[in-house]
Amino acid sequence: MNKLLEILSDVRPDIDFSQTNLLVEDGILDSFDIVMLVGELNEAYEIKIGVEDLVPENFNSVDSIMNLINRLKDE
Amino acid sequence: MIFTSSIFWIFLFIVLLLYFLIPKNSQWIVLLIASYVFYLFSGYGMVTFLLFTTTISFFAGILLEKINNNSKDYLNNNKSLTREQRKEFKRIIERKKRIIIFISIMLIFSILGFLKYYNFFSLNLTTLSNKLSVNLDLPSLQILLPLGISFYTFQSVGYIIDINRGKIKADKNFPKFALFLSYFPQIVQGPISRYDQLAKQLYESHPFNYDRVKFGFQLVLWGLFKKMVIADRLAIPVNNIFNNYLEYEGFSIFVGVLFFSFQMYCDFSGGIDIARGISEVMGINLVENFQRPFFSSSIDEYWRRWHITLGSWMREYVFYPLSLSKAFTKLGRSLRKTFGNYLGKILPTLIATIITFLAVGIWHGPNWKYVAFGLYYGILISAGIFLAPVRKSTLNKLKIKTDGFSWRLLNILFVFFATTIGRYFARADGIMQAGSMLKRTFSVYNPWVFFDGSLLKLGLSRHEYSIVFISILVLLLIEIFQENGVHIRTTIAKQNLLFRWSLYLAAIFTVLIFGIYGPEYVATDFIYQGF
Amino acid sequence: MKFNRPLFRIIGFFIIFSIFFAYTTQVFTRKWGYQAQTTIFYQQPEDSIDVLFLGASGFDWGVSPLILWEETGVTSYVRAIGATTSSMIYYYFLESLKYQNPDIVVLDAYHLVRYWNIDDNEPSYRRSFEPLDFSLIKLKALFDISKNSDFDTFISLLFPFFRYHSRWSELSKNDFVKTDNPEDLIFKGQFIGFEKYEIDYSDEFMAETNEAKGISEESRDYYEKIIEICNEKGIHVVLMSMPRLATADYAEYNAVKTYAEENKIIFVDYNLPELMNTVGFEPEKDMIDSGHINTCGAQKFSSHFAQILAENYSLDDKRNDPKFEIWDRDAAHLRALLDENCN
Repeated sequence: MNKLLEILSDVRPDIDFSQTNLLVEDGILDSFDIVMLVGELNEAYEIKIGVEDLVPENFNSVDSIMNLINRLKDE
Repeated sequence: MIFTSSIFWIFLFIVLLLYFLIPKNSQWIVLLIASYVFYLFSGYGMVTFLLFTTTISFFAGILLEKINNNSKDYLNNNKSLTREQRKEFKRIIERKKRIIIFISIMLIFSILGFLKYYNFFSLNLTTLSNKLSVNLDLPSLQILLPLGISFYTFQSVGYIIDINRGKIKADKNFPKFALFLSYFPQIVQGPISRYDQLAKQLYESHPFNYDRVKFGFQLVLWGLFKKMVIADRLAIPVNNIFNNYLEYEGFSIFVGVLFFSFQMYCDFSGGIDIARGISEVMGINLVENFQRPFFSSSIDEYWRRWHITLGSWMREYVFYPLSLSKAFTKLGRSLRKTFGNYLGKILPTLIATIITFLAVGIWHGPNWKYVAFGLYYGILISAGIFLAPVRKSTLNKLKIKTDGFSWRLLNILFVFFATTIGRYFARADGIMQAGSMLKRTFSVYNPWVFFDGSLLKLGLSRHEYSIVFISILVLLLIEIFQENGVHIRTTIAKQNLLFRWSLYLAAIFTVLIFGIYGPEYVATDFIYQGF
Repeated sequence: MKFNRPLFRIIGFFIIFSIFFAYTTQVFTRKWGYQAQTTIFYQQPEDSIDVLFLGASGFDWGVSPLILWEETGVTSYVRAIGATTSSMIYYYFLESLKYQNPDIVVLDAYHLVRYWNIDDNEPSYRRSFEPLDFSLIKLKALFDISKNSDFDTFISLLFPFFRYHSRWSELSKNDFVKTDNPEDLIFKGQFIGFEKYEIDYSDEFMAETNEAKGISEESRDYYEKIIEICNEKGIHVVLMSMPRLATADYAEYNAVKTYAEENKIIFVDYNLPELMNTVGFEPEKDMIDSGHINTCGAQKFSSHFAQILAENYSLDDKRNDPKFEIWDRDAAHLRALLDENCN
């Protein structure tokens, strides 16, 4: 979890990620952020986040991102 | 059959009458027939292209879903497979699906490509070959573009990809699916709807709902106001300046481009409002395509509020797949080694951004000016991302307050200025003309054109300018309210009947009187032709 | 029945809208100057007009029903629209029969040799079509005259507002209030004017020839329809042409003359020099502009035409009928104007 928060604050240092849960729908994370974030996550967790995973529900909060990572790790 | 023609309103009246009078579960049939009748008005032959695309995407969808289901079943029935075996199986399935997607999308795009871009390529190839003295002489063809081809093509490609991603289920009913691609309010100029946003609504039944019908017509009226009163009136000086740009310079040209900004916005968003309004009357919510783009405080925000459905299509089906593709991931890794972490992280995104905006530009039409248009925005936005840290530290150092209204206004004005520059490319005849106009604008300082009556020689009288300015002021006011979260139509609905009906009548007659339509009335055309 | 509130609202709003729309149409429609003639025609007592003049502006200026009354005691009315065309003359004829049972219909001979459709000459049609009250005949005319044009022409004839909406920047007092001169209302459709225009017309005017040409197929069809109905109803048809010093042509005269003989109808062409002499036409005094004669000239031609009618038909002399006393008063009014302004 801390690893994830670190990566997140690396991409957008200006946001307190633990406080928000509508990151995409409120427009806090835009598509550029997401693409960069996905690159970082793929690298860090050795997973492959596909285009089909790029839906708001997967990126709206730290928890949902964590869920996504765990799901992909299992596959 | 354009939205502002009398024949369209009669057509619409008949469609609505049938739509609400026939049994509710066959409403979609009325829509399907109406859509094809509407389409046939644009030319009989054109329907073939639409049907071709419909057929390809329909069967591609079914095929893809079958493969998806079969492979899922197979995996479920063979739980004993090792992880490696499963991976191998998935890889084979992926390849199969890729072939289907590739073939179907190629077929669909090649129609668009051929009809819309053939002449562009043949001309440029011929020019190039002549320079290389190969003397290739590709003929140029007289091609009439099928109505709405750029819109339905993108909708059908989105559909195929969404099925592949498992986002939606394939449509099993061909006539219904044909309606999804041909739905008449949106076929002319969008919005580009996704299957999961629109299809179900089209197939469902919608009883007559007075409030919804009322709201729908209010939106139509608002769209007509923007299109007929503002856009079509501004078209007169805009055409004058762009068609004879060599006769103008400095502020005259800039004013012309500024007018074009408003014309473009009012024309496009007005048309969308009409489409959305008509849909609302029928109980169908079309997706928004504009969200007051002139209030954007950054260029990328502007592109999230202007032609939203094109932007989001490009994001979903070009930008994301490109950024996450193997090639780009590899590129990122190798860049990181050479340029360090920051650049390595950001460069692939910037490249993907520029490519995406090139696609946005080329989508608009087969012309080098649209290539320039796409590059312009791609580079602007990339620069914005790239320079974000620099910008931040500069602002901090200079202690500029960024949370006040004035800072936002400054940004809004900057975005407005930047998009206005972009419109030189959107409206000029070609890239050379756009360049020449830009040069003519900024090489001359002639503020007197605002005072010496030059602007009155562009085809609009003082009276007409008053109408334009008052209308734009009304538009601005309404949008400021909307920016602040006021829902105009709900607010109106809360007022008393006298006020509401007076407002409706005033709005209707404003459009009827001040709208630009019908043959121009010129008193001198009518002078007595005695004998 | 269940009280259907939305439906009532929709109908209510539609009614209010229609009222505003009708008023706006009235304001925005161009004032061609022919409305009074048509409105006054509708106000004439039923079956009170014996002779009906149907034609173009030559008739408006050149035919004086009150002179005809003075001379013969016959009642007549002029329904003539500037540069109208035979199709509209036909519908004016049909429409007139709804209100009056004339004994004689005098048609503008000139329109046998001219025809244009609405796309060639839109004002001609609008001037003629717009003043008419709504009726089945008007609807029939609408379908007929717009049959070869686009749908927008049809719609904008039905709702003239759509044609004139951009007049908002030139609206004037005229458009909001009726400004008919009350004096004009008594002349039975005649236009009154005493200005003089000295005309200098070509020596080639009505140069004699044996050639006969110029009858338009479309006009012939419309005139034939009129003649057929007149024959059924026992109405006499007369062809007449007022002087057209710029355009009259002898070959056309020949053609119309043959046509009239074939149909056994009287044809009077005041372009014939000998007829002009008989009438006593003075080109330096009797014209109001290059194309129309003034009221002084009208007196001469109408007086002559009254004699032709009297010689050929038994006219119903109503001069002693107390119901028509008002005609005497109006004729006296015109007489006073003539005495004051002519000679």
